[in-house]
Amino acid sequence: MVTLPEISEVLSGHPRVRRAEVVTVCVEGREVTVAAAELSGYVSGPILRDYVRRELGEDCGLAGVLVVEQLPAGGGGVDAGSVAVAVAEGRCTLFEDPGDEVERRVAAIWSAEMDLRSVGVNDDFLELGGDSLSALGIIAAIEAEFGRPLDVYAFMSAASVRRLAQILR
Amino acid sequence: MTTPVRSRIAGIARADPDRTALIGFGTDLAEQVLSWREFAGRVADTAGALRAVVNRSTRSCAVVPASNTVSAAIGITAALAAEVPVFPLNPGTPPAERDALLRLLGLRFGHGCLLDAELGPQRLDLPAGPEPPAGGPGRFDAAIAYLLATGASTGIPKITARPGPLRYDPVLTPSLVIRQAGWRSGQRQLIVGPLYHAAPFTAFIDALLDSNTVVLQPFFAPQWTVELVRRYAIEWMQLTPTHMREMLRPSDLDPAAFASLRAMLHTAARCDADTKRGWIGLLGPERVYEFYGATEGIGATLVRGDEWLARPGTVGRGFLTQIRILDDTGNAVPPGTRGTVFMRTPQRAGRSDYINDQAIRTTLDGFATVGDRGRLDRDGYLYLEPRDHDVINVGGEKVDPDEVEAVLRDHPAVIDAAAVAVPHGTLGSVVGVHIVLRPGVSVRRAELAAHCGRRLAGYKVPKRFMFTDQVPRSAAGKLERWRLASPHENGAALP
Repeated sequence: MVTLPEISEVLSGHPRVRRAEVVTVCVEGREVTVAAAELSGYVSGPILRDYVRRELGEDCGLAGVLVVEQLPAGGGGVDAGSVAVAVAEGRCTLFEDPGDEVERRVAAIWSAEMDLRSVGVNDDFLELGGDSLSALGIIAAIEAEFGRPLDVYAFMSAASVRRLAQILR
Repeated sequence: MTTPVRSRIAGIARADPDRTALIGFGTDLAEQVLSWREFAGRVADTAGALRAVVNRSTRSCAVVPASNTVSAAIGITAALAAEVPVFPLNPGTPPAERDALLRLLGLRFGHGCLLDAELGPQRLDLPAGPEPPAGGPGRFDAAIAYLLATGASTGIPKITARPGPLRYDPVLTPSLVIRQAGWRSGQRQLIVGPLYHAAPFTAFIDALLDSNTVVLQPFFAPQWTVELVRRYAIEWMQLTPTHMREMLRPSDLDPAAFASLRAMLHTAARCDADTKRGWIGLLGPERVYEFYGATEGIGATLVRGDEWLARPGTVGRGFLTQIRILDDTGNAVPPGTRGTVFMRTPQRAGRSDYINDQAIRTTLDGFATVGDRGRLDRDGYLYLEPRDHDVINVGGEKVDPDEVEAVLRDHPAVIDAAAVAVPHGTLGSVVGVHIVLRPGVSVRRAELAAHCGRRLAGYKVPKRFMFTDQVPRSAAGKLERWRLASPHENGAALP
């Protein structure tokens, strides 16, 4: 079992992370592990989460990374309450596994085309670092896999694995 | 897989030597047609001449007087092929502004080369700027593909630099957003706007790299534009709202003239609703696209006519772009609330920076703005509001000058109008308008005021009418209100 300090240490090792702290918060009755990170240059929460999962394995338990302007100084610890609020307000997308076969196939295509370890079904395409190249790659792969045309505009509007799977079902 | 510009041009010429690359018009308006073989040959010759004169040790740039002529098109392409940073200059720039632009270029370049494909390269002295920051692989060392002047809406000249060198990438040329707006490889494209403006310039270089046949209209004349679309069976073109408005004027405009057109993309300025509806009526909603994005390349939105009809006034949703509206303290505001438009795009390749020390405003998490104001609806559609410096404040009531101008242009005697703030003793300012009347037509001020009074709230109705031959517009058709600012800003106030 990976400990919270281990996650924090790995995350702090990312070249754009100045400091990081990991807390357990309660979201919709579930205990989830969320990191708060203070950055030296912008990188998105889902990309940082993927970085940790790549290093520590997908079972490390890290559900999300919240990018904050500044962590409390002096090692007083990050306030779990404010992290929970940020999650509830949608400022930190939590990892969620595919719920069915269509979502699983779509998520696998996204990970392969964007070179990510794992993609949560609610993760935003642009937050994951998607660009026109990866968009075209994903569209081509989905057209081949599902045997139907997919409009660029429809793909962009969907923006997540879950909403894209809804179109494809 | 990317290809240098030089090899790409040569490759198209080898594959399709006799197909037309470029159609231009001389000063006598005689048609000049260049096949891909001829075009590639002249580009190679000019690029060679340019390479021979630029000194690789001092940083050089090429300045091309960029009217829409065959020689300007060759000059721009030659500089891109030679991988010398190119600045397309408006040949009509007044001397003071031209000096300011050359001074800006002098901040980054040791010397310039005036490139006229007829006359060959000539040395151009750039005023020496302050010493560039010393050492380090800073942005001053980054290679530049091209430079574009911007800042028409504020009057403060700025130059943006697009990182280079430019490469042809079959997947990314043109960008996905442009391809989504009806663009097809090898199409016949009409370029109406001047090559020294960002949108026509980028459409032109995308056209070359994507083996289009380009028709260059040397100056805008609305009926001629319609005729060119018909004569050359144009498939794609980019227009500004001013072009669109002027082209709609004739009452006998025939939709059949546009039968060949796959799409018309408009950009560069806000389009009034009447003009937009006029074009949707002319082409059908599926062929009308609107693009919003800054020269600086920080992000883009796209909207097709049918989406616009469902949400009149929108400039669309972010295309590979996240949009966030922030208030003056930097906090995100909810849908429906206006604020400053920030955008974020992963397409860093197209991101430009200013060449002097002006920085594009960015947030901690990578959102950037050029200062436009607007709001989002619940579905993420963006609506732009006039920039703060354009809003006329009448005793605390905010007046959008575009709204006043649209009402005036609706009057049969009026061709064009520009609304500005006029100082007022008690209200701070009131609305004044510069009016261009249809030739040979006269109208009383009271008649225009009554026309406005029937359509606008009292505080929006212009209190001063000034008749003029033309209102200042940039090459992109953007109204240059700053040129109309009262020279007696603190002087005589209206009673």
